[in-house]
Amino acid sequence: MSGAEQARGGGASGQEQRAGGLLEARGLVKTFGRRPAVRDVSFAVGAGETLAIVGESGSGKSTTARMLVGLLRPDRGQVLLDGDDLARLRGRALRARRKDLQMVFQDPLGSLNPATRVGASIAEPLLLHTGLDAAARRDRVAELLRQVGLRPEHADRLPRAFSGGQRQRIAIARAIACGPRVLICDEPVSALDVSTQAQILDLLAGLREATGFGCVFISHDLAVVRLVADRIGVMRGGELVELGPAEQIYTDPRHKYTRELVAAVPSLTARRGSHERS
Amino acid sequence: MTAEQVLEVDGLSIAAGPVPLVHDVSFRLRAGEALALVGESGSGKSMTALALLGLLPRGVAVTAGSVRLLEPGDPSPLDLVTAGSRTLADVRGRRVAMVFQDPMASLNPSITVGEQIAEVLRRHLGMGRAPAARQAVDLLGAVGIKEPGRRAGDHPHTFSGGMRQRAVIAMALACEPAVLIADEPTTALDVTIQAQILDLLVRMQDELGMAMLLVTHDLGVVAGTCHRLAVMYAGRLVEAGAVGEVFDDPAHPYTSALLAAAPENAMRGRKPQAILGTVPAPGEPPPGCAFSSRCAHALPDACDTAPIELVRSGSRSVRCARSAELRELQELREPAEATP
Repeated sequence: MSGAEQARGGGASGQEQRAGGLLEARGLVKTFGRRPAVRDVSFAVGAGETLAIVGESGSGKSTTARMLVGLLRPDRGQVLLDGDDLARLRGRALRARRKDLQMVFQDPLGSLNPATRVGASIAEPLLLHTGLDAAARRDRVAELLRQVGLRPEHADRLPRAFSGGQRQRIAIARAIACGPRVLICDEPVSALDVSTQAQILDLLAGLREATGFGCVFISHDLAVVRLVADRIGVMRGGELVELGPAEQIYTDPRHKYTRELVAAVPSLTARRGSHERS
Repeated sequence: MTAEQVLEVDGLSIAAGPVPLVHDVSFRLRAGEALALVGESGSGKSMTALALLGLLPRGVAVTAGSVRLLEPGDPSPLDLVTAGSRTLADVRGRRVAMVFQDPMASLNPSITVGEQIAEVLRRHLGMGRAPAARQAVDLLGAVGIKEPGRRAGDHPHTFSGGMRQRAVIAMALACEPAVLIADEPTTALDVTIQAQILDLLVRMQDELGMAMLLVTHDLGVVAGTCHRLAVMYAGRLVEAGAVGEVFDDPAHPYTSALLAAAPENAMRGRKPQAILGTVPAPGEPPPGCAFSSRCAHALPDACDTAPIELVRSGSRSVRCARSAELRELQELREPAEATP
């Protein structure tokens, strides 16, 4: 049975979402050499909705994310934005679509040029995709910095002057600069300290509420996605083994592997017995 | 009956040149006991662990304090801070072993896994080639590697991440050390593998009766694995005590905030609460409590002007000017039935 067929076991809501999908992955397949990384993965994300794709290393979740934003070309299958196949678009039409689909990575340092002041980094997509003049771009950068919880004067600093959480805020400001309709987040809090993770999750949830973008949230951590995801897809060995409403994944997982994943989340209430045995 | 003390860390301070990284850290470890050293990046937890075995990076040094390794009936315990490099080399792997986050950092890629474990046995215990090789196979079996006889002849790159960490644990336990230091041993592993490795560490600890110092940022990992925990913030211990007591009734606002921030809360329907602000940069410690600028309970004058002492009462220690008052008011406990 293919991953897509199993995934439909997730319930009727998956079908509904598919019909009204803003971003749709249809039968994605990617093979590296002879190793299949993603096998026949299909899902859809609606406006204002967050779909979490959860899996362990080698599950194909990051490969899927990279195909969604066009960093990797699928061997088979399509990525549709508003029904348009991104692989068929060229030139101006493609550029217009690209700005609708933005990505936030695990390591913000990897996506920020260390020698470029953060204001210029955030303004770059504005320069590419909008007709804003220098003064308007500066205003927009100040507004974006405020939106992600930083201050306008931070625009003049270099990325290394910021903490990990602040850098992720900068990367998010850049990603939302042109008002994308879909945000793909690949492990956006995995490199951050626990105390900062919740800050960034709150920020993403607030921005989604304010701007209504659809979000694909890639993570290895079922606990992290619990409060951001409307629906969750579980990947293993390149297949989507289960896709369903978030609550159901935790309370009534259908697939054996999903049950294993849920059970493996450490419990804060677990206790080890006393070491002083008589 | 109380188990005997095996390691005694007293007033340990560490600095990188003029920049203090760890300040006046003390704790004790007993045989069979698991102590978690908990903190976020920059808290000094890993530097503390590295200092125990003289493994601090170049340019970083212990500036004060002692690390005493005790042995029953030994009237003059060894101080690992002042011990020479030959003594340390003999202690490492034999009496105190260490497991790191990245197993490949502890494995030589060009030597078979079995040979690497056998080498530890031959060097520290003087075993012969053949018995050491047999013992290595037994150890691989004990840490849950299937077909250990065959796998002993394989090189590390043919092992998965979880299997490599098992091999490293086998190597660390080869000489049945009195103390195991595990620095984020499961942080690089998948969550299902993490649970297996934690089970293994607990089981081996019980079997060998050794003490374990688990260095981690993850309170979820601490909960079911350790007996006691010590929480570090900006280079200082801020709270220490039994896991059950500290988790149920934290005495320091930072411990309370860290517990509330843990993503695992979401699994019980509680929204993880962000801690606002950031850790002060090393070398720029505020005059009072280092957490006061982020603390919801900080009061001017009481918290941010003068250094706060670590106060012990029974098995609990806490470094907070307002702790007694806040616990009285139950301000630091999470509400019993919070909704997300």
